[in-house]
Amino acid sequence: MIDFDGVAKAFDGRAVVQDFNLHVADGAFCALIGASGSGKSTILRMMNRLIEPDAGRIRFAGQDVADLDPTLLRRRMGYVIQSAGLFPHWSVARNIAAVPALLGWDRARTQARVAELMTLLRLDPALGRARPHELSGGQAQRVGVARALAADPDVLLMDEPFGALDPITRAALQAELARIHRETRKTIVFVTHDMDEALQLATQVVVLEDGRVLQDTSPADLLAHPANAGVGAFVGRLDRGLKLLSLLAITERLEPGADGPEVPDDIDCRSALSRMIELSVDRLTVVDVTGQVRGHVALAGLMRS
Amino acid sequence: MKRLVVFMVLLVAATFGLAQTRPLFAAMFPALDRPVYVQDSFAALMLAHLALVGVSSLIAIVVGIGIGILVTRRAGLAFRGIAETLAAMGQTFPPVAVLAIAVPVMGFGTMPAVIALVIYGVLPVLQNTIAGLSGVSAPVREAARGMGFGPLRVLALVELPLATPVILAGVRVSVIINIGTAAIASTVGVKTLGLPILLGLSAANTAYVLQGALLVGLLALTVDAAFDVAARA
Repeated sequence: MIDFDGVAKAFDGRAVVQDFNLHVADGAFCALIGASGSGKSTILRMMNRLIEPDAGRIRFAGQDVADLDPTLLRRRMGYVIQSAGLFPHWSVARNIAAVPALLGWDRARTQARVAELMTLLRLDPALGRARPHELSGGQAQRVGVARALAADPDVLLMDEPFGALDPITRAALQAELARIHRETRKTIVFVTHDMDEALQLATQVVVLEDGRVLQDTSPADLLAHPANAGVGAFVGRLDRGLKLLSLLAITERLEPGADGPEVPDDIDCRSALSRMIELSVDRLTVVDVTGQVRGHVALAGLMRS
Repeated sequence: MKRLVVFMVLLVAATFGLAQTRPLFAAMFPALDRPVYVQDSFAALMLAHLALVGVSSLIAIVVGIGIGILVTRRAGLAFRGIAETLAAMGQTFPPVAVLAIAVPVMGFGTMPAVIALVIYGVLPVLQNTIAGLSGVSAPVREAARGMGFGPLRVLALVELPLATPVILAGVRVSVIINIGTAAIASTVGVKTLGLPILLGLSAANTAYVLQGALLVGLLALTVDAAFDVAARA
């Protein structure tokens, strides 16, 4: 869906991105992760031509973005930024309908789409008439995501979208985004400096340092085989095992028969381990939402990585 | 709104009724032979004054907002300092001095007056246009660009609406100053509400000065109240 080929960019003579190559597959959730100044935002902003590269080629759905009109290109890419950037003089509904309005959708279609998105982002329909300043930070960012999705873009570009939110709101929105990715199968490129966020959400993690790729792989592979000490430091040395467990659904370590206290079947193995420690047991019975026993997990099974 | 109605009623009453107040001014200034200005009707002076203010303010607003928009675009950014300096100089320059320079070049009449008033009136509009447009938050502008608003749409749909209250405040200052300053245009032979004031000053006729000043003052207050209503809308 998006390909970078030997892309470079310098600001005031300082190289921010160097010889950068990237392939984001259709439907992938790609997290660009790195410290401040690693070039991750610059890379994102080159995708929708808010920044023009000095060298190299960027292709979007097979076309060189340099050949496309930047304004029309951006309408095909949803864009979410950290502070949401909602238009303060427009209602929530009009904010969400911004790109459909640019594309000349008729009233009925636009209204239907706004209602659909407010449901998708779990926004109270009554908020449609509210102004952005009346929203909480979490609500504002939900509107920001809804606005980016409004015209059903091919990709969603997100620049630290949850960076300014408190941990509880952030967790809720992360879960929401994971669900949206599952349901819509949209290609998402996501900039963050939070490794846990990247590991939890992404299917492809690209670790950046000084505008270069340190490693570009799946979350599990990144944890199991960090390419070098730099990446190792980024993913965390001491709790890497726990992070690996958090990528594993409890159902993947299921053994037959009930044994031990009950836990739901939609948690990850890290939560299961936590529950074992909390209850001082080494076996947990896994039940589905109806209370039906699906099997059990054992401590030894969790250890087997 | 109430303030606007009150001032408007007073303004209309004064414009059309001042000529009938001879007994009042005669009592106030018993030494004067002609205690009420009668050379022109006050209504005619008011109309001429309004026309001069209207034309010069309109030009000042268009020029001020236009330059303000240009120097806040990427291409015009380099000229922002010069524009601000020139406009500031325009305001430190007394309008009388502009008239004194303009008259030898262009002769007496409306043209030099309009030019002096425009030069004087551009600064508040320009300053507030720049301040208002620069005050639009960077994330809002970035979001608009990133969503596929072209430069004109960013300006028309996002920047200008958000800057409007600040720009309107500058227009208000400009127009109000202009109403007072336009009276000076009578020194170069333009008919304005300043005419009774100038004649009164040169002929030691305080009654004329009062009548002219009363009308200029009421006009300024009325227009200011109108801006107040507009700003609240």
